[in-house]
Amino acid sequence: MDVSRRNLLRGALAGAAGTAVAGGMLVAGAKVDAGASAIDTPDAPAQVPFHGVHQAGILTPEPQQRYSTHTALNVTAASKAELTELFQTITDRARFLTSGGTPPDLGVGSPPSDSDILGPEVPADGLTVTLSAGSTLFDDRFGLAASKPKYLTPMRTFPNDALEDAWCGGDLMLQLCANSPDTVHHALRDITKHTRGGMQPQFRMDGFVSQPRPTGTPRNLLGFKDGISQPEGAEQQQLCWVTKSSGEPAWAVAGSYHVVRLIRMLIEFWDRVSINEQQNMFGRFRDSGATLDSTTGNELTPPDYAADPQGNVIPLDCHIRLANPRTKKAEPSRIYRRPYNYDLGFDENGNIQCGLIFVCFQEDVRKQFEAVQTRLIDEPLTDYIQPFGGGYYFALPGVQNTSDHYGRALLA
Amino acid sequence: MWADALPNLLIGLREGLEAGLVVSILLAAVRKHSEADNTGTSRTVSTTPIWIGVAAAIVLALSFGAVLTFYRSVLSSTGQEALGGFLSVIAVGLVTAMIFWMRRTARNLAGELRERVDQALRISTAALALTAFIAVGREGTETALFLWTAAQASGQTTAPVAGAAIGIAAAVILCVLLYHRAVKIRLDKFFGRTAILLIIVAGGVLAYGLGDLQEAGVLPGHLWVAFDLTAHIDPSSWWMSIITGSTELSPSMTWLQVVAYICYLGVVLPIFIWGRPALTPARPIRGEPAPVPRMAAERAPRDEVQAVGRRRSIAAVTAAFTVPPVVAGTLIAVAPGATGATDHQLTVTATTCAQGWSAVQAGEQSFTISNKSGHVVEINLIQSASQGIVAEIETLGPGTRQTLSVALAPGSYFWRCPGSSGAGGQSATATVTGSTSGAAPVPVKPVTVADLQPALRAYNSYVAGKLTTLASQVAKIRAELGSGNLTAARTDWLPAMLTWEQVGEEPYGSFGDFGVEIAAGPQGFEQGVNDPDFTGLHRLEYGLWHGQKASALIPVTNQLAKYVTSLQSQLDKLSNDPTSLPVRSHEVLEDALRDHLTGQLDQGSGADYAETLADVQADRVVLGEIANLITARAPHLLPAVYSELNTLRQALLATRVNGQWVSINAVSLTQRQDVDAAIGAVLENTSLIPDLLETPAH
Repeated sequence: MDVSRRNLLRGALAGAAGTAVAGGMLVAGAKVDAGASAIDTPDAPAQVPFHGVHQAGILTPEPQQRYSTHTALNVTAASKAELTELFQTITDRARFLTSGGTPPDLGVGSPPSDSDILGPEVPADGLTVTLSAGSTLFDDRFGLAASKPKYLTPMRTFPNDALEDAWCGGDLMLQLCANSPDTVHHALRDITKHTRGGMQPQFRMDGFVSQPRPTGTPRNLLGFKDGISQPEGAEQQQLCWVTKSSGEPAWAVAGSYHVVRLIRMLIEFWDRVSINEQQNMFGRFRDSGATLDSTTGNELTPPDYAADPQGNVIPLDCHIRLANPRTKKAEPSRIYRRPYNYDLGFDENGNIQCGLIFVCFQEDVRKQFEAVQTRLIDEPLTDYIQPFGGGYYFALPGVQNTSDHYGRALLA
Repeated sequence: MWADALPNLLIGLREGLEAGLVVSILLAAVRKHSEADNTGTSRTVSTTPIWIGVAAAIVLALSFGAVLTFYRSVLSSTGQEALGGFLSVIAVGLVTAMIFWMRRTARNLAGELRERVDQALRISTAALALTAFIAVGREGTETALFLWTAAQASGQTTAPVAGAAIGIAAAVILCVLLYHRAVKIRLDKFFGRTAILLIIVAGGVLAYGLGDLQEAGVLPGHLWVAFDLTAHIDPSSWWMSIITGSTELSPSMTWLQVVAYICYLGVVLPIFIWGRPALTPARPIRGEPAPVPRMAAERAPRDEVQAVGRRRSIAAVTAAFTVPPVVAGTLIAVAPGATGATDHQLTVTATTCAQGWSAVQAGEQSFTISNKSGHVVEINLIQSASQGIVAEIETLGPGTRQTLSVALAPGSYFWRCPGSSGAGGQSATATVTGSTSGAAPVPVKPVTVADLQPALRAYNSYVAGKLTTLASQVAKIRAELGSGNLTAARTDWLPAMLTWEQVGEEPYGSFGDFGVEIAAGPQGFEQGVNDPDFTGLHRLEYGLWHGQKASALIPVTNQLAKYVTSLQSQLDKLSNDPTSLPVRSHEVLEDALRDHLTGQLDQGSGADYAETLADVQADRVVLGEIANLITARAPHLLPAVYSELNTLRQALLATRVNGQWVSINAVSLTQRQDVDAAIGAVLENTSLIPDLLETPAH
């Protein structure tokens, strides 16, 4: 009797515990499901640290925020002292905007200090501010010629480019990325408000990253998954950052060459091309993102070029094979990409004007981006894309603490 | 991928061994009974009923498996997930119960069964068959269910089925050996150890099943993800496939899955390991002492034996063999009409094209084609009546498979593997029956390179004529520049430019570098208009409209004349790809849209619309060369295209002011939009032509 009572008690406890766990799991799951439909970027961090050895917005956050604006600006400051002041102001604004907070009340004698488009309390919303210098910053205006990073030049014109001056160059590249478009807009509005006398815009392009459709790497506007294969871990660090052994000026250590290319996609033309031709141009299946030799249908499985030396399955001149032949020799030319799509109204001929803001970071622009782009010259895809703007920039080293500012070592 | 075979190998081995042991014991008991009886009477008991029972049980299990498989294929993907998830959970319950039952019974199994044999023999041979049927059928359906769910979890069929087959075969061999006392194994240890592995697999299947139920929306929380490693690890790497294959876990799991997995293992494993009753070593199956008879009351009354007649036993045997397949067939027949595509597996080998091709139902069908030929193949599905292609995979790599979906109209079809040497390169013909509700795709007659050859010859001779004209036009400009008459040179530049446009060649087309040298714009050159590599008609245009001196333009013109002469002499060598013609018939105007209608190529003459009109003329010529091939495949296409080209021509001519061409910027928005609309309409139609006239790729 005693034994069965104990068993009964045990059974009842186990039953109650089981019911509680099961019920809890189901209720919690239902709650998350309901919540997730409201948040469109569950993975995006609410705040990305501003201070660090490297700037944020390059390798962090991962995955990249969904909205961006890339603004090239020309410095109008007249002296090195004014330039320093400009960099200090940008630093202060970036520090505030990326951490969020309440804008100061300037009292009755002044218009409000903030536009309020993000409300009275400015949220960080995953904002990153990344400041890079173009080659023209190192001309004779500020006495910085001797400090110019070794390979920083105006962007090369590649065959098949159709560069327009108005969309190229700039003394500075200000890359703003955040989880929402209004946060990006607010940051640009705030920074330009505080720096009117010091810099003026050259061009600006807003970007977005699509949701995974249906899963995996997001698609670009040609309908293909883009950015599948990226260097990772230690290789990523090594390929991305300028170090003491890079042979660059000392101030440039922990910086990175920042390439921005505005690439128009001729999507009407593209949509009139057969699926076989499209896939052969990329080397991947459009639906799955898997390489054309895939036996798994998984986009992450690397292609086996050794098994297909003639390019019978994955054409030798397709985009992925030229960009990354996956040979030992090509390994040092890998780049870390951070692309955004843009969509900008219509072209003169009534075609939708849209494409890709190709963004990549690397230790050495010649050995990496230019080597890749040289391999891609005359790839079949060139008929359907038209690079028309952008530039080479150098992402400054990170701002390390509250007493540091952008370019402190450069301007010291 | 072969790691996916492990769980099923385990299941096959274990369930097979259990069923096999039951059969062995029954056989042994019957034999013993016969021996015992033989000393008294001459009655020998046949073992046939046992085998009948076994066979009937196998039929039952197979029928069950067929129903499971078929129902999955006709369900929507949500339905598949719900069913798969539900059955997974049931399978886990059954397997768990089986494990504990086996542990409890292992010791007494032989005894219990022998007793049942005694009972059965007292009743009839049919009862003996029934005992075998129940024992094996129970294991069999359980196996079918678990194999099916494990195959679902791993997402493929080959490896799991192979694993199960190997496991069952091993079990059968082991049973035979055991029966003949060739080997002895400690069955308690065997069942104890495999049980632990089985519990781990069952935990994975439980997690998988719950995940499916969440995906299907039956259970909440599919977005409450505990971890998702899919972005960081390659699920097809060998070590991942071993982990996922042998545990049935996936690289992405929800919290419900994780908690259920941990709870299941956390409860079942300890109970199994520490709650285990002391076991006496299992004894060899044969030669055991006879079981101690249980209470006599359990035994069937003698008169029941008379109740079971011979006729009834025949009926029972017949029923055992026919009912499960009939029920399975009925269930499949009354299944909701296959609305989703049914997937058929076809194989291309070194000697056969589309092995496995057989009659299918009309309507949406999908075919997964595996290439085991060792080289790249193209494969087309051809409608016999029209000899037209209704579906194709252009490039199927060796060792890969792709799925192709097509809505099939009733009729005869066969597969062709162009370029493949084996078996004549095509499959046998099979019939598609039934009716279709939706529209089937129009079959497209294949085109060969030879079909396009005459068109290329005609086109090349047309180009040769144009180049002769161009050469004389360039010579005229050269003469005018020589006499310093820039006005005349400007006037004569446009006809030369238009002659080139009428050729219909694009800068990066089949004329090699000549396209760039004769007619490229300054884009893409480091120094733009000042770049020494910027040459040809647009370079000349730039100079003529930007106040450059005649003396500066003479070298440009000389160079242009040289390029034209070289191209004339190399034309037949360069323009030798007939498959470029269908592409050109479309892309001539794509280039006009990109280069001229954006004003991008204009170097000052404002001739963009004039050049576009020349492109229209070029397109008419190219279309004319391949018109018969197009019309044979799409009878209504060309009349539409020609009519749209007329509209485009009218829109272009309307942009002129007093009979003179003007630059795009000087044309009103309405007129520009008329041009853009017309060219867009033509292009949407001409974009079909490269697909219609596509030749085999390999």
